[in-house]
Amino acid sequence: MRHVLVVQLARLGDLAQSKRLILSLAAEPETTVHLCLDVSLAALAGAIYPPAVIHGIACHGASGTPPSLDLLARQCAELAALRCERVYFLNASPLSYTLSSLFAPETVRGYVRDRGQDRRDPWIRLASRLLRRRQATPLNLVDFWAWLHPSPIAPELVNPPARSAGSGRVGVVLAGREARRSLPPEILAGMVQAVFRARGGPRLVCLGSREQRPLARRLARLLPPKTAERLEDATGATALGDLPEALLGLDLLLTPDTGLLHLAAHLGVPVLAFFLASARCFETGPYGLGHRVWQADLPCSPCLESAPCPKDIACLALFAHKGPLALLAGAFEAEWPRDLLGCVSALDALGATCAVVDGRERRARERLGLRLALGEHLGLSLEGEGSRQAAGSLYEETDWMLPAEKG
Amino acid sequence: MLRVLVVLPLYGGSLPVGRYAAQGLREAGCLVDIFEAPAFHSAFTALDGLRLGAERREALRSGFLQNVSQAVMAKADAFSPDLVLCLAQAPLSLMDLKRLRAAKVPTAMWFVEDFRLFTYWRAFAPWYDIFAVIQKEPFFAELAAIGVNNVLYLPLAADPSFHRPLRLTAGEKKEFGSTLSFMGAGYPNRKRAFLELIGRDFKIWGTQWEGEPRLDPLVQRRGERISPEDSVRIFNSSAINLNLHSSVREGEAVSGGDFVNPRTFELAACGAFQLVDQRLLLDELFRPDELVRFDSLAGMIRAADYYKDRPDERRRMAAKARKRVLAEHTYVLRMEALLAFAAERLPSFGVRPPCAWPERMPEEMRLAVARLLEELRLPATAGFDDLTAALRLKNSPLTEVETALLFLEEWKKQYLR
Repeated sequence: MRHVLVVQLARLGDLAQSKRLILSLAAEPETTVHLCLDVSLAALAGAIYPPAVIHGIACHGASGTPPSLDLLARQCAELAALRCERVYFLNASPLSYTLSSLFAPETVRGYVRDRGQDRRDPWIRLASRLLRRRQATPLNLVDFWAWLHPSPIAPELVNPPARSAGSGRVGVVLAGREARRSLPPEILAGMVQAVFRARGGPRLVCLGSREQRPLARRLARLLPPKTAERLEDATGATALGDLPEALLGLDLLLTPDTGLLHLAAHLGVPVLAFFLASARCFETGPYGLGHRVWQADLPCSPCLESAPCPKDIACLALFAHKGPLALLAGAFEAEWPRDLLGCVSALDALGATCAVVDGRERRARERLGLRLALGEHLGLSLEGEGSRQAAGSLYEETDWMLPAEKG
Repeated sequence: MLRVLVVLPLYGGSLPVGRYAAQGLREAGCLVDIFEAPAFHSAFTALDGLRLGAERREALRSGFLQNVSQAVMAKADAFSPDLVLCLAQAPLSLMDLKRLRAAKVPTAMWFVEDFRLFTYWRAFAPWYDIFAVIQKEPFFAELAAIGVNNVLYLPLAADPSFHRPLRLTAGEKKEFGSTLSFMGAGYPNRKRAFLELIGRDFKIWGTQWEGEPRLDPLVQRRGERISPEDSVRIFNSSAINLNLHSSVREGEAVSGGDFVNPRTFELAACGAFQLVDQRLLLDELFRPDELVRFDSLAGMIRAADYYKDRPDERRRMAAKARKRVLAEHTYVLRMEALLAFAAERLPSFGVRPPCAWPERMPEEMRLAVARLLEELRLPATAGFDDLTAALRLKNSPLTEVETALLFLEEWKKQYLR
């Protein structure tokens, strides 16, 4: 039996988005996949990846108490003792680089510290460049990690197609970790009400952490009384490990770009996601068929979350526009605002993407050009007409001039 | 522990001095990282093979050096040194020196060159926080005139772990030995002086001896560069080592200059007998009964003839000179003097926010950490961040304990600072 290890030290969303890589490794014959992640996610990881052996390590700092050196050393010893044939480090964080120095550099893929020098896999270097031109990013994060594997499983095998549970329950995620990527209750209320009307008055379940309770209360106050009556506040009521169960019975999940979005996609729960500010659905949209996304596409989209918005978060207004809300509520025709994209999730040979069905994407040709170039680089045949100039910009002088580093 | 980044030059005479200084700093208890500029030298010299116009060549060389300087900055950023110690010709640009000053990273230059010949110090000295030199007046006054006040007289020295008496094989004695020898570059004054020694059992070692065919039979290995290791073998196997300081002026074989060259200390540390030309600063470094001086060409020849057949006198003097070097003229002592000067002149020198060890460590972990400190030659009093900084300099995959230590440090950086 061969052993391979995936080290994913980030949050819930990234854990769920590592799925295509993990399943690709698990599909190799005679292979045991190990997964190392923050100890707080260990139970959930076990639920998402039943065949994987989970190794928790204290890498998140929520408690404010440093992990014990002794425990860390034992956990490191446990990982080293696995004698893995390959180790996949998926994060560029200092913690991840540090942990990678435990392994022989030639066995590590992704991000590795080799005798004190941090290095990135050639694929990571190439694909990371796309993050510098985010308006035209053509690659979903799931596929970014998956293509560290020479032949990842087909995209349609990653998550089940989205299917309504028929329970008459709709989940509403109030906010994500990045505040500006979420809709304030005043705008969210319009979307919730539209969904409520379209679906004939389903039960609405507010999901989120305990800190988001005030948001749930505000949302309730903003909804018409009949809708508010059907609103159940489940914020802070679900442990991380119980989240899959909480999501499974939903007909739809209304959410910004959050870990719950990716968990829902993993379970095949239909998602209606709203992507604004720094979020880009072509990067971290729901993986699998049957999901919808509204994407803000202003000239300043996507912005930098860390910098204050000089336009008073202009993208918020797009989600309060009458047209899309009317369509969401069941109208057949309505005016669609400029700068908002209505997308459906789609798959091709490279992986997941979003097909724009409403609105006009500003950098569509460039994005498709880059996607075609990525496909060519990976030996895939993708269809479409993209900008050939954009394809050229995927490469840099170092690719052209220096011998390829071993991946 | 103090962290010092030593920036070596791309090549040249100050390069070995930089390596000895780095070793001296280690022995003085510092954590030392070295910027290996010589690794860039071959690429730099390749520019000369392009056969370009002078201006274009200069522009390319300048651009290359800027790039190397940025690499020094990246190294400094990663290592967080308490001091960046540069040797003469270290590839650190003015712009980057200014950046280091703005970032409050102290810099020191050990200018182991003759200020009268290498006059470019005027542009650079004001940008170093400490300027250590091998000459005194009028250099001090010249530096003060341009506002450089943190000036330290720091003569050269020897590294007794390298410059030491050797037991040589018969073959080595035959190869390297002679009654008279000289090891060094063929400066005009030396070429002129050594013509007087033709016909004696005399070997000349080193480069740049072309242009004086009468010396060709004396020049060993066709004037190839001699390694520091072989230099020590030569010192150890020669009855009389001539030590004539260089001068670019041919007219004066014995120049009577001020600074004392490294060979003086190295020969003495080897327990090798030398005849050295009188220097203005020599008497405060060695007594007359430790080193035999000469102040003219005739004096050098007289002394050579006198000591040639007096092995006991040679041994006695060499032993005294070695004792003096071990007591006062080692690179460790020089580096300790430099650090003491920095502590005196630079506010908050070496002061870092405390970085505590984890509070509760089981006995087994305590022992593992103690073993690690010993292995890395760190004192038992080393702090947690000293150990992690030393681990970052390791050039091999890390063990579980080492990885855990660095992981914990990163965790603290990420969540507690």
